[in-house]
Amino acid sequence: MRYSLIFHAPDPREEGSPQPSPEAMAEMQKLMSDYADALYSAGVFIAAEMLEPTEQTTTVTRRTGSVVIEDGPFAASKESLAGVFIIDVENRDAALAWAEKFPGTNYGTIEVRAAAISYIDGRWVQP
Amino acid sequence: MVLSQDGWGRIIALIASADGDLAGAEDALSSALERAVSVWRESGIPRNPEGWLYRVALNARRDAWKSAATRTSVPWDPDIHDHIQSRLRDDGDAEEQTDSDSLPDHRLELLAACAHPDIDPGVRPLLMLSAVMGMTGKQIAVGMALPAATVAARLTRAKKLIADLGIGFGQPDRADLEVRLPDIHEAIYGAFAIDWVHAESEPRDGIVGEALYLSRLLAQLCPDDGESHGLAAVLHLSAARFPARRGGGGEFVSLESQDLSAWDSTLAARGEHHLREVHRTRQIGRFGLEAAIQALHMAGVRSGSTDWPMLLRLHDDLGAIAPSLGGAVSRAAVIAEIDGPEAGLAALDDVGSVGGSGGAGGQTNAAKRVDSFQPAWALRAHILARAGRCDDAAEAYRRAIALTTDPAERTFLENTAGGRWPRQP
Repeated sequence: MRYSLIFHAPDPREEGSPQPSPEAMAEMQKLMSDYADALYSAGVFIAAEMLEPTEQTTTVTRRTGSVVIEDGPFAASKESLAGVFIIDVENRDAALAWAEKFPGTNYGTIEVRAAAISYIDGRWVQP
Repeated sequence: MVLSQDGWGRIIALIASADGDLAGAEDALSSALERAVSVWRESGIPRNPEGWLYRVALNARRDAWKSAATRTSVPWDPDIHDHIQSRLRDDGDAEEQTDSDSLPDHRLELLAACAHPDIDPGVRPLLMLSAVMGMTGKQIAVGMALPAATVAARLTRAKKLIADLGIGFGQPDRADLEVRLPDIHEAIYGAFAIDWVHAESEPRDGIVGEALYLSRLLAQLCPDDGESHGLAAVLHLSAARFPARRGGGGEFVSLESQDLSAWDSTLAARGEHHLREVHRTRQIGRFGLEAAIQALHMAGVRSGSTDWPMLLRLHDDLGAIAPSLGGAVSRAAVIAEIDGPEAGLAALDDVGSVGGSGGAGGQTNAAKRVDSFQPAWALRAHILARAGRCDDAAEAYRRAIALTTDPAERTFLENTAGGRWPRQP
């Protein structure tokens, strides 16, 4: 069963949010790397993406009729989407066990959401 | 290091006891230590180095207190001011004695302040390691595998909270302190049994030595408190086995397969000493019982014959005074040894039915928790395998492995299961 661990954290570019030092960044990368290794060695890893800050977001919509392309996120907020880990585990309890170990929970929040349907190897698969 | 392991906490406790300002006391002691390096190089180490450091640090704090009084930007609380003034007078007398007498010991009050109910339980161990042991945020972060910035932020917030609360802990009420002892025990236990927050690429020993020190310190400060000795006993007995819990390849080794010659006999002897102290005080609580259970298990592995009925009695007592999911699962393991697999499985089923009845879906909260409790599935798998129920065992192993995030433990379970379940569907 596929679960997305959706990570939200304060945007470091946002005013008033703490600026991580290069050392702190390197340390967090090490913890993240250990985490991804553990997922991989457990055979539950599907994909992981850590995202650039929202400042470098481009938003595309055709809601009003024609294409509108804008710099910046759809909605500015204190916390923004910072990364997604997709894992394949038995059930929600196992997904929660992994979410608890996610290093970023020290400064952000993980949303654990089951996939309703996944596109795998060229076709939609229902869990 | 110019300061003994005891020295840091003693001096911080003395200085911060006036106003509860731990950060201020730490700054003052750090600057005193810096001065000591140059002054002592010139004139030699004083006869009572800790008295010297205390005096210099206290003077630095006095300057800060005085300047705070003249600054309008700092809120000035007249009560604290009076308290500090009286302390300064008292210390004026005490100062004369610091060369010959050892410093008064306020470390129990300091431990109690660190375990203050307003501080998040997860932060209390960090605070103790910082304030009582003098560990830097960075050292704590490395030991606990937490980001250093996170530790620093949590320490700053907690110290500010204590200062804002105005927890002056100079004139302790012994009864107040006794009420706080269980929280102090939990915090020290928390520093030891770090619930490994992250999946680690390799096992760490964390800050075991520091947590052991804190437990010994508490037992020394409260020599007649059974649970303080119980805590020291349980931590030392656990730590004694640490060298044996991983094999040469970093793999997990279960208790009964451990190499006994790798157990640390000094730590084991200390644990047994504290266990005897528990008996002397005639107060046996949660930690005392856990220590007795561990001691019996270790004696069983040493002698090759474990006293299971005695273990069951201890588990029953533990369940009566401090029921927990982990304790109930361990009790089921003991029952499986005494009365066989079916009885063990029945005891495990009972664990699930403990607790309040009737949620919206008819499932109790406890049942939900035991369903996601990895040790319960690992034990179920183990018992089923021993009973020869291979299919059921494979299913239980699968559930246990799914809940296991630690790589070494996962490998152990996979090897034990012996490939009886498909690794990837």
